[in-house]
Amino acid sequence: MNEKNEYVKCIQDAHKQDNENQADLVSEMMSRYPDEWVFFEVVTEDEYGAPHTGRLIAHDPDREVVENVVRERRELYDIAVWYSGELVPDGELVLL
Amino acid sequence: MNSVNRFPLVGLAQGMVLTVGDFYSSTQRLRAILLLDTGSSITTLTPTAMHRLGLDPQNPQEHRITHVWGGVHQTPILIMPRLRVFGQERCNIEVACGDLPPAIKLDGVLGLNFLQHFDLRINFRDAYIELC
Repeated sequence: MNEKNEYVKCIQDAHKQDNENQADLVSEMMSRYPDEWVFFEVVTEDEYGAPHTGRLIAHDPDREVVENVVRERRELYDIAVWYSGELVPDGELVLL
Repeated sequence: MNSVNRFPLVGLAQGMVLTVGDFYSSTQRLRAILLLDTGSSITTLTPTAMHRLGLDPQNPQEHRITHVWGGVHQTPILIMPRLRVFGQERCNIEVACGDLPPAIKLDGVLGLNFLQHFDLRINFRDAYIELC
């Protein structure tokens, strides 16, 4: 690896570390990335036991892209992968 | 641990009752979005959600015959070490593995094999759920 590549990797690792150290409100994370799959590590719960704050790990409109990251990050213990858009297409009914 | 026993009713605008199910495997804890369905005999997770927990749906404890709208299926059943929902929990609970239609962005269904151990009250008028 040459010096420039090492520098770029170092910066990327630093950004990744910053990102992982930062806990955001889950509600803000979900609205920041509309109609995407959002993978986060749960940091705190609300009074109902649901995720309140978390660390963003990955987001993408393509579910498989995010699931690949989930498979790579097995060291994370308390996780969620939620879709930020409509869980059921608007106007459609669910009959299971 | 949450200290309340009355939970907001979520999902009615989309024609469903939704909740976050807290699934624990031996290696992971997953906060899954579930459809509450008292008409389902068993709690179900999608294969994708099973994989997130480090579980292998191809290697279930057993297969069980299940009746769904589309017909009869042999459905893989796995044992979940712990499941916590609405502040209540069950250990070593059977969870079926089944796919939902791709347009439905949920992780599974919370069924009777969890709910039947508790007193479930759904107040639609005031939009809350109690499970005690």
